[in-house]
Amino acid sequence: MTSADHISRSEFFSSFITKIKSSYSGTAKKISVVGDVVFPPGVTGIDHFLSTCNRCDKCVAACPHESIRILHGDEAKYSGYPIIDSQIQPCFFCGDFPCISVCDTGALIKQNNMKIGVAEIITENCLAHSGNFCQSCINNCPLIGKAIFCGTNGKPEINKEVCNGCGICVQVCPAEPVGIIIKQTKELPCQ
Amino acid sequence: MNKKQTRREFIKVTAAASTAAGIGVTLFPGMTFADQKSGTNWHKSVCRYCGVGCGVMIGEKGGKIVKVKGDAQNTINKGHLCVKAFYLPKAVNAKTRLHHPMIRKNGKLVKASWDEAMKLVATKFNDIRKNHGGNALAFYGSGQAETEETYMANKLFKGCIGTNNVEGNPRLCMASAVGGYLTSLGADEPAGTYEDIEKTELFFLAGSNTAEAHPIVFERIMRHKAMNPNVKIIILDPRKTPTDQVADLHLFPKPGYDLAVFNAMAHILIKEGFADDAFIKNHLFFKDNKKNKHSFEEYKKFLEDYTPEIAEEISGVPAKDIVKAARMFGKAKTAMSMWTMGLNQRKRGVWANNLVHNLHLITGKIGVPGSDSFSLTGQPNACGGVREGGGLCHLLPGHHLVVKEAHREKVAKVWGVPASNIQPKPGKHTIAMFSALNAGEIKGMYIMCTNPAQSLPNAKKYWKGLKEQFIVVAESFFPTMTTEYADVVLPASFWTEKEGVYGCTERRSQYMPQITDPQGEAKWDAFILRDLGKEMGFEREFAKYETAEIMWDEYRGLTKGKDMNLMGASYNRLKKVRGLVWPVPTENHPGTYKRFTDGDPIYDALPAEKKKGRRMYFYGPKAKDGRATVWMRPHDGPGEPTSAEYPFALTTGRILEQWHTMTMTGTSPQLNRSVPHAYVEINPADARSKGITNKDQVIIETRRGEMQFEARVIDRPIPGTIFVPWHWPDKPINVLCSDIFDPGSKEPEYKVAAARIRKV
Repeated sequence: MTSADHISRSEFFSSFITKIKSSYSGTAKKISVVGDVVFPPGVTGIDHFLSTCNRCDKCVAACPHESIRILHGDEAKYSGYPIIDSQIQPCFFCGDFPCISVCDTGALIKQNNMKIGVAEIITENCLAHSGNFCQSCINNCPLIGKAIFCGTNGKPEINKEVCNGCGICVQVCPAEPVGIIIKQTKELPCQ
Repeated sequence: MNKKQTRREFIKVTAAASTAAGIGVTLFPGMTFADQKSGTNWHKSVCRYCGVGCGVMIGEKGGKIVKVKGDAQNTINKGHLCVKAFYLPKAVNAKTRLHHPMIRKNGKLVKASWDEAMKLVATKFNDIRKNHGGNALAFYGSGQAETEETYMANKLFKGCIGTNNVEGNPRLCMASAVGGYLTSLGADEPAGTYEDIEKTELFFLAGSNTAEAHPIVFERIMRHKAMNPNVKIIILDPRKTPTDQVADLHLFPKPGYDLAVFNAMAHILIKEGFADDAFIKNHLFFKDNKKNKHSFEEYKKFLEDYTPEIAEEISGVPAKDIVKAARMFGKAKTAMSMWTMGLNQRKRGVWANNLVHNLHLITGKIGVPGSDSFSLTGQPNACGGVREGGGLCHLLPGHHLVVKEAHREKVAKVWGVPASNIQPKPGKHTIAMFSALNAGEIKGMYIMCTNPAQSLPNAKKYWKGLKEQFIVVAESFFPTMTTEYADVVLPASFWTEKEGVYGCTERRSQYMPQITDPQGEAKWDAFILRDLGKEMGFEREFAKYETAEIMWDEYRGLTKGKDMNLMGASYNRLKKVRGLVWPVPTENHPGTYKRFTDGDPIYDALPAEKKKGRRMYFYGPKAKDGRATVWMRPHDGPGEPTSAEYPFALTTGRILEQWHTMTMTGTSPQLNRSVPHAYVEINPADARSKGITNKDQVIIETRRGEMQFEARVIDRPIPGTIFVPWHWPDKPINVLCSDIFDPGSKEPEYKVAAARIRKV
């Protein structure tokens, strides 16, 4: 931005926003999923899901946050299925779950205690584990202090019972490479 | 500064040392270390961000800053850093760094030479001064500028141009704390230091989201509590914050209604026998708002009006919680209060500060290890450069005042200017200054290292003056919202490209070396001001300032014999140590852990009869008879209370990953990813009643305008309160904030504005 050209107010704002956006998506463009493949909320079992989902993409269209996308890539097993890549956009667990509402094959079904995965810290990447004071995952966890909390050693810890795998912590993690990922969980019937 | 010598010599020494010695060789004792293996040279310095003052080691390789890590030998952070500091190299090397001067021509900022820019500014300023007087010019500085930079600005504007219109952004954050310390303890800045953190039994965090705004202080608190489970923490804040992860008790007052809570705590402390009668008798005065003296009995009577029940009615904090908090405070052998903007940025900021000091004074929890009323600073050099350096309209460097003739004469002599140059009346405080800019009374302003177009409260109102008058902005980054209004933009050296001193929260002054050359044509702010002075015709006055050390030594001389004595803090010494805590009167003095008591050189030098029957003597300039003052401050609400029309209290604050107006943190994609855009936190109960769900777009409206945000429905703010972090230039929430200010400190009430919210 050191050019001699005049920059108007609106241009300045839009350039600033673009700068932030581009830097943001620049790191998120990597489509290859870090960690396990995570499916939209409402999956009752992996085999059941894979056999019932007809890849109609309706959940993709229904998601108001553009969190659900179609997996194209190396994971041939799941290719074409709807997934959530938390680094691009995590799941915000809408109260009414429009993704489930539009699913008419029964691949996604409303349950009590929705859970799509569980967060796991990669200690060698985590900034807090390398002596920095970083609490981005803790501060941004929507289940304040319950799913991710600061342990007595000053480093983030995860309550695997409570964590629903939404992935907001993955998206906000300032470490590079990312210091936290979402794993499929044993409690999740899809394993 | 003498950059050539330092850098060239340094590289020579590096090369020589590398061939001669092994890994980790020390080049300059305590200062620079070469790591042969990676080819990185590590330089001891200070973090650029907040007022905590963490020591950093800056890694430089081939003339480029490549890494920043914590300085393990620094007593403040012991090698730890927050995530912002970790990404500081991104800011140093950012594409948004300004590399050359710019001048507005035909409405557009275009590249210009230094010569042309300086001639233009000097001519314009001289014309304004000639035609409209010195008071038509103003300087607006920063708590992030080095002490030497503010010192040059003070000399140019107060000493040479002859106007006291010299202000800085600390007016917007620390002025109430200054007012609180001066009126309660008689001298600015805390009596204790961070050392008290590990010695205390109870923390009272009032109006401070320590975990996000002062991360390393919070880490120390957290570690202390983890190792000593009996340590208790009370938080007073209308919002649950990440700081709550360590809370034992949280009091939730309605924004702006906490004064009654402090008085009710004092009420209970005295009623239940926690008052320290001996301390009260020998160390305190009691005064009302009109400065009339009262007895302790009369103070007790005043507190009758503040029973916990009455305080509950006023503040919304349950009476039983107030009692519980008071008992915790009373029972703890030692207590440390910390606060920041939650108390300072208020219409009654000074009063709120006084009432916190009261709790410590009446219980004698001050002046002993582990006990202090300790204000946290927001910016790295607000204490050092502006409060001590005199960067406000009523001050002169080294805790001197413009109203005192003797002070003016003393400073004028050192500056080599006639004493009559320095006006005897304080200049305009920040809000008055920008109002005068709007009105055209001030016609030229020099803005250094700050971004008022975004950071002023009710910001939009002041864009008019910025647009119409002649504005010079000296900045390291471009564009900012303020450069949008600049007539001349001057490229300033940044952090590692200049030498100087930062003074942090705990009275500690620390030295920062120049490590790299300034980028492009950037110049050090102090030299820009010096050269501007020369260009304006003050050739003789500014001839001697060849290096940063000359400026520092001159300033240091002015502190001799003052309560903030820095005579022992020479560059030579500061280069070797991890800062010095004043008063530090001589080169062999170790610095002072506790003021006003044993071990403080000023206290120790007092005649014995003064100290008789006492353990503290408040010798500050505003104290009489060595006594501190307990103020009988009545309840008062915010300047803009909520109403049927505007039923929500809007409050603002910082988040961990961003800082101020994002000119620095905005350069790191990693930090931007953490919190990519502004949002408003709203309590789930309020969200339900307004039909708002998480991530909805909502409009916040105050009497000053409206702005759209993404809603974050979360159980953090109490019902009736909404919270917006203030960093993003595309959503400058300060435009909506109130510019009502404290009549004492002139600090605006950012923390409470009446607002309404609706779904888009």
